[in-house]
Amino acid sequence: MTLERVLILSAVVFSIGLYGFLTKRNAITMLMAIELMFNGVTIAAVAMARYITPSVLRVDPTATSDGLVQFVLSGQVLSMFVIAVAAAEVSLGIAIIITVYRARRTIDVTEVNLMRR
Amino acid sequence: MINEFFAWAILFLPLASFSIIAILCLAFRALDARVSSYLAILTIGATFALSVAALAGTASHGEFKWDSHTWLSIGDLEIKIGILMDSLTSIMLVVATGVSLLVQIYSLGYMERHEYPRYYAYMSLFTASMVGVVLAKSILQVYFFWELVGLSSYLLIGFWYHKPSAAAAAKKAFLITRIGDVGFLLAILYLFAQKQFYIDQGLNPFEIPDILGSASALPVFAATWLSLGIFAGAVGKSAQFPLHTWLPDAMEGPTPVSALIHAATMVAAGVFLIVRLFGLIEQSEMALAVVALTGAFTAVFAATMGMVMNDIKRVLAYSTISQLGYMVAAVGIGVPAVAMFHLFTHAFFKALLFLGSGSVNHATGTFDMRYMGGLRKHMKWTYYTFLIGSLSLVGIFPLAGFWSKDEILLDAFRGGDTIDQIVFALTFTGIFLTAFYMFRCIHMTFHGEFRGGADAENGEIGKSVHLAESPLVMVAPLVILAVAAIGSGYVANPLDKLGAIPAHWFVEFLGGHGGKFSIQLALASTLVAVLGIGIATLLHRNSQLRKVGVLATLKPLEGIISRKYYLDDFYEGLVVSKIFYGGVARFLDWFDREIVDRTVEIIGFIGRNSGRVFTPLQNGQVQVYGLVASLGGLLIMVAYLVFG
Repeated sequence: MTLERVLILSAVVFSIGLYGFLTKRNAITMLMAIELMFNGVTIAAVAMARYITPSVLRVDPTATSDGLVQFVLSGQVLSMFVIAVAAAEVSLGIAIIITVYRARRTIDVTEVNLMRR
Repeated sequence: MINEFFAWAILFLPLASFSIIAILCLAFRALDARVSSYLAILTIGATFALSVAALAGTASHGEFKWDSHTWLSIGDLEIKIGILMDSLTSIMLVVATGVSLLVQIYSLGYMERHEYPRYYAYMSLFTASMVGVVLAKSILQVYFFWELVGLSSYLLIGFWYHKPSAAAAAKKAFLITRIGDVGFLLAILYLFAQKQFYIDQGLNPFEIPDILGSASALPVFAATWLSLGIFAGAVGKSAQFPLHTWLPDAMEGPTPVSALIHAATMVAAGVFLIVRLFGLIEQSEMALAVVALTGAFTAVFAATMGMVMNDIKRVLAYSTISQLGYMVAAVGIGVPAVAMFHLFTHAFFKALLFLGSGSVNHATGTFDMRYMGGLRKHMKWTYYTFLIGSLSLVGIFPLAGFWSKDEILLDAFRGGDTIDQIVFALTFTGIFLTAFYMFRCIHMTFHGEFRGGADAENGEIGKSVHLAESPLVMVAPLVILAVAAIGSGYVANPLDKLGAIPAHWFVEFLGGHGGKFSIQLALASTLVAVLGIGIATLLHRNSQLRKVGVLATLKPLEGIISRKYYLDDFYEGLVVSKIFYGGVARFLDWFDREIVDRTVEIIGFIGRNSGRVFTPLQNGQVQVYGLVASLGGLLIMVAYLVFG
């Protein structure tokens, strides 16, 4: 499995998410599309982290000094952050969507444009 | 004895009176209005006393100069204020404050009581500004008070501001004198431009003694333009042709104000200025000729208009313009001391005549002589004092006007060159005209039968006019002025030693030379004056005479003259409405509309329409934003791939 393939996967997932975000009118679908984009980014991050890790460390992570360990794991750490933030964001987003629905009886984003007027 | 403190007090007393009245009496209406009049009269009385003391001081000790106080420093130039107290100053002070005192006493009877505070405040300001002009040592100081004189005359001419004609007259006086003031200002700026010339000699270009002291070193070209600029200011203030039109209209003010304007303050300021700066003007032959010819022409020109007016104050106004012409002409032929002498005597008899006309108005309620007549029987004091004033003005021996006018004629007659001869011819003709218009005025006002006064004018005969002599506060100043109109000529400038007064004291005190009296000239001028009186009397007695002979052919001329030679029509119809409104103002209006406004409109147009272009982008649809952002990102990526 080469890096390119993983990155292409990542790009495909991100693009599907972007397409969904731009085309869907339903706020919840858009939220799901955003999740897809997050996942695309996460995949890329992990793949890149693996790619830049020196080969020594792939075999034995304790082969060298402590500083490098963190360096090696940075992609994974970033992914964990993204997942955590995405979870928070989804809960917040859904809360907003529910509130909007209660007020406007719709979650069609083209109709929620009160601020513009 | 006079010292610097008292000299400044002469200026600050009336100024203080103005401020106190303005603050106290106008703010606290409950205060008795008479308080303001007493305050003003007391201070002007004190000012007059100080002025007399100043005259005594300069008469015995010569001139005083007090160290100037620096007002401003501009680079190496210092602008100073100070007092120059010489013979000219002290005489002018006595005239201005003396006439002002009498006029203010007279006003107690003439003005209505509720008008006192505002009236006396303005009067004090007027006197203060005139005193300021007279005392000034720096030409900028002169200019400052000169403009204050203009302002206070504006306020007083427009005193009854609710009358549209008074408001218009005040505006006219202010604007027309301003035209002359532009010349004066240009002269001051020219002095400023020449400052190196003065600084090199250790002098100050704005100090009058320095200007006069170095005048002979000035190039003739510079002296000419300076003199003409200063003279332009004097032409405006002293109502000389062609800027004389404001003075007859200034009659809209209260009559005592006219007396003050005509005798001692406003119009005297112009003559005073050219006398003060005579040392500069005499450096230029051309400037002298212009001054002399303007004055002599005005003397006759105004007198002809005085002959046809029906308003008593207008007759006197044209008479003033004519007499100012005599003074200006005297300066022009090189005898400023004589000009001051005429100003001095003229102040008394002209104030007398104006106060007399005010007294007449007090009784009849009108100024139109066609509705007067026969007042001699009812107003003896007014009649006789008015008669004395007229005789003095006409120049009948031995009244004051005779002596001063005779000096002017003498100097013009003896001068010899062409200018002097023209001046002599014109001023000599003026005597006849003066005699005619003054006695026409006296006949119409005081002789014959009474023609109804204000009632006749309003078409309600015998309703409100009760002919009676005016109260004592009005008659007393008339009598005092009449005494001065009789005696001030010979006593101030006797032919021979008169008691303690040396021969030709007045003229020689001012640095002139007393001319030798000529009995032939005196006889000739008296004869001409009597001729004028005689013709006026004949025409009055027999109105049929006007329709026969030479007089009938003069009839069309009368029409032209009574329209004031169409000068007012020319100024208003052509200069103001065609050239100014039609030309200058219209161009500026076009410029403002088409250039200035258009520029602003274009900027606004750009703002509005660029908004119209960009507004749709801001549509609030997060998906559109996202799309644009994505496309932007894509674009950057493509660009990176292609060019990177």
